[in-house]
Amino acid sequence: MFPLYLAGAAAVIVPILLHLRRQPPKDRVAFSSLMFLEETERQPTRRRRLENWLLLLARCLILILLALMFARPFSRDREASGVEEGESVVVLLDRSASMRRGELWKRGVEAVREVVEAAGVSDRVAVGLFDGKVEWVMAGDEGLPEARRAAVAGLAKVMPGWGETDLGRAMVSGLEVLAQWNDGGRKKRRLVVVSDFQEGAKLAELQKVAWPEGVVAERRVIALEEEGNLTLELVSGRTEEEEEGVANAEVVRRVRVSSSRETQQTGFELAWEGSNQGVVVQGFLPPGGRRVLKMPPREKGDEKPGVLKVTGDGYDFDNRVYVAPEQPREVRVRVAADEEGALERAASPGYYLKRALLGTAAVRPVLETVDAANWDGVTGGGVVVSAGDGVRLGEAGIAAWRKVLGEGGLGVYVVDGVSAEAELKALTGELGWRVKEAGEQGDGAYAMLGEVDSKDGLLAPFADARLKDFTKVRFWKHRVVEVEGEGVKVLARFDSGDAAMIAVRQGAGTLLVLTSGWHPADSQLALSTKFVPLWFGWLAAAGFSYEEEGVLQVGQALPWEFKGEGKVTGPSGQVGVLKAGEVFVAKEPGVYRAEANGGEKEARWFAVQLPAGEGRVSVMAEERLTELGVNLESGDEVAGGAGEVTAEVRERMDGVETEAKQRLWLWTLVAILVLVIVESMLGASRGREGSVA
Amino acid sequence: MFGEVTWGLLWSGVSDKMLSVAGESSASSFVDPAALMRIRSLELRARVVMEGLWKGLHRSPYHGFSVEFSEYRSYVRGDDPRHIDWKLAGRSGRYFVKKFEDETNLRCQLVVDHSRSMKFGSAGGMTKADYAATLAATLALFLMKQGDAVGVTTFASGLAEHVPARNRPGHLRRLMLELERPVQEGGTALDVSMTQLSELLTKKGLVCLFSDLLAPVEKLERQLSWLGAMGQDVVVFHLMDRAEIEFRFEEAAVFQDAESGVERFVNPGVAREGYLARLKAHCDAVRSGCERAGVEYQWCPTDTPLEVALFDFVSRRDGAKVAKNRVSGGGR
Repeated sequence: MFPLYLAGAAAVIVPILLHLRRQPPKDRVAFSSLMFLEETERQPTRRRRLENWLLLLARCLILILLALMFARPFSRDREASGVEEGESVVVLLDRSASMRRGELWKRGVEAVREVVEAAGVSDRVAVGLFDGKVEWVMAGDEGLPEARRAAVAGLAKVMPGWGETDLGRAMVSGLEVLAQWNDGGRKKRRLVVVSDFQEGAKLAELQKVAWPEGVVAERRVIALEEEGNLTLELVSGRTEEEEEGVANAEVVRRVRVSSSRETQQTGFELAWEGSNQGVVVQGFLPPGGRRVLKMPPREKGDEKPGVLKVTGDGYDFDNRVYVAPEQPREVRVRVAADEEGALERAASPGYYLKRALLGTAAVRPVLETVDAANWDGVTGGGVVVSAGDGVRLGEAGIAAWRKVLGEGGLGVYVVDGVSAEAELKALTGELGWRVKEAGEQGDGAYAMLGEVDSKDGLLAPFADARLKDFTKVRFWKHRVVEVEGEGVKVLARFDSGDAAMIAVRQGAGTLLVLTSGWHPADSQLALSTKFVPLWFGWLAAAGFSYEEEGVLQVGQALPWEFKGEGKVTGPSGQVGVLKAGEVFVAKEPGVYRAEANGGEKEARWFAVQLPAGEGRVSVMAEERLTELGVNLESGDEVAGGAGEVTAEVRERMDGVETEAKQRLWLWTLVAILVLVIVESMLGASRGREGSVA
Repeated sequence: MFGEVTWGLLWSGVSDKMLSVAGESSASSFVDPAALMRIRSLELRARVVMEGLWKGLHRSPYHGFSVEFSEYRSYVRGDDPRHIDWKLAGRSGRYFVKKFEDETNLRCQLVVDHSRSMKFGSAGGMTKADYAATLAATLALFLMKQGDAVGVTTFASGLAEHVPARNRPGHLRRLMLELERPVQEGGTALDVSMTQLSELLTKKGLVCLFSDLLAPVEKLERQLSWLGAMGQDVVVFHLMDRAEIEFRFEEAAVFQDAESGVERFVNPGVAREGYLARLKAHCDAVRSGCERAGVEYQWCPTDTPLEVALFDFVSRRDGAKVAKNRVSGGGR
């Protein structure tokens, strides 16, 4: 431990010199007269040495052992020292998106290299990269130094990813590896995590495990001098007002601008990348503050992906929000008609229908007319409409309607007369329909909807009391329709009690029977403000609109199941081919385009954002880990900083521990005491030899 | 002669048995020499020893022994009338002349070795010099108390100090001062010192030599014989430290001669045997030489209580003098 004390062993030269020096006898006796005394021959020095070599040896050993004792010796032979052979070390290097800042990744690789090189040959070392999951780059074999060097060298060629920092999952994986190596608990086990330890890192997985005994976690924090950071995130969800709005309202996106507490600058700017718009938003944020803004509209080019960027800090890895082009779901609406221009004929039901179903950000209805002869070609789901203008479906139409409804489509059938009874019976099978004319209301008379079941999904847009007032909609004509059977539900009634709207479940789909038409000949419905939300509510209830999917993040699978072969084109242009049933996991932020069947038949854009939390780059407090039971090695080690624990320091710490266990100094002291007793005995014996023979 | 008579009268009736009784009863009460030497005053030490000696003597069956003996002779014409003992004349009606103390008492010259070798000592800081000085001081005190004249001579490489034998007020103090002098920086030249001494001693008396006798025996024997021939009664107190006698050293070391400063590396384990043999030979030679010279030899290890050393001396002297008086008929 203290090799400098060994220099004290040089004092052994003193007794040697004294022993060799020919000393005159110290004792002088005054005697009365030497007349009777003869001089005694002195013994030769050589012989005296030989007689006293044991004494000299004892004295020399005492001095040497004294110096050795102060030097606190210990043996690095682990078997003799009782220290477990080897050490198990698992090194985890953070490769999340936040490690893209500055020199962090480079310094992280360097820190890993130090740990690996400091490991002994008998140690087991494993190295893994982690973000949302762990990838092992070096297995925990007691490998040769060359293999380790090669593995570490490979790290230098790797770049950090765009994933989130699931630190908890990574540490749990490391513990599992250590547990696998644990043969009887004889080995020292250490989990080294090299990371920026950002506050946005996930730690939830650590709550599920108990920290195993004997495992020490070592934190190697890699931090930048300049920690200020601005983050731009896409915010999911709608406000209450937006929820209350019509189904065809614009999809409102919001972004959040956040500033870390270390940020020096307070101003920020938002701009669309690649756009000539310039700065669209300017604002100020205090350090540690955040603001939620509506995503500023793009001037044009909504059909292309867009990138909204915030500027105002030095690290732009988290400064972008990706926006996919608007892509409402196409819904085919086939309207029974007996002529092609039925949708353009004024005052016809189709005319009003076409102008109502103009499309929204979520849904894009595509209207087409189908005459009785062409129902055979209608396949798939969608919406079928019989607008009640005297057009009969025919057998083919009935069959097609049944097929559409069976596949989950929506059928809207306006009862325009008694003749509709047969078609209704044919459409619904065994249900008993009775249709009769209610008669005209008379001059100025009209019916109103008196009862509306807004709790049903088909009338969900009118759930709010303020919106379900249909009294301003007058119905001049209606038919009295009665039906009994399962799956039948009257959604609305006229004030007379007659059914106005009947929903019948047919297979997977819904047949919506209206007893009055919407065109002005029957009612004011098409001209009212209720008509458009009524239709989009029917479409949404039938599943013909998209829910807000939330914010897609890197590491998540695209929410689209390929029913057949398909491909996904990434933001960097890379193409991934997928088979049926496979899912695609986005590995970088950007806008992806998924295409099924290799063409435009079914394609969709997906915008993938940087994982939330990666922008929170402030270094987390150590307590966050210790509170979860992590057994942290005392002291924080900043890789590359003043507190860095080098291999030399670790070796010294290991030496301190080994020396404390071996306590060789105690045995040295015992040996010294024994030698002192021996030396005393030899010295006394030497004195007696000089006295009376 | 008078000294011998006095000595004999002084110790008359003191048999070996008494001395042995005194020795047996007093050995445990004698002061350890090393402890005795903690008394810094030499005179006080001497008095302590003498107290012990007297106690031993008083336990002898010969009580009431007076030391205050005076000798008379009939007055003859020409004697100084100032010396007539008028009290006796009044009692007896006859005229007797009292002999002067210095005419009837012992003359003792205490010759003390003050060479550097006498500074050696191993027991509690007591050196041979301390032992010799105390022994001489005790003897001086003892003799002067009973009217004998005592003098002190110190020597090393030659005579250092010589105080003739006297018994006057204040003389004892002077003797103590001389005995208290520190040992000189010099070797032992017994022959030179004895020669010088013999020239100074004009009257016969007792010469007590206190020395470690670390010198060639031949020269010593010659000088002692010469002193004996001069009519001096010589007693040699051979002082040696126990460490010298037994060579109680264990560690190999460089031994340094106290007098010459010569150094020798000695491994006691190796040299002891030879040392003891040579020392024994020397001591035997000294004893033999003294015997041949007619000199009384007293072996005095410095760990022997001084009282015992004096008793030994006294007992031998008494036996020898009684025998001598019997042979010569006593007196002069």
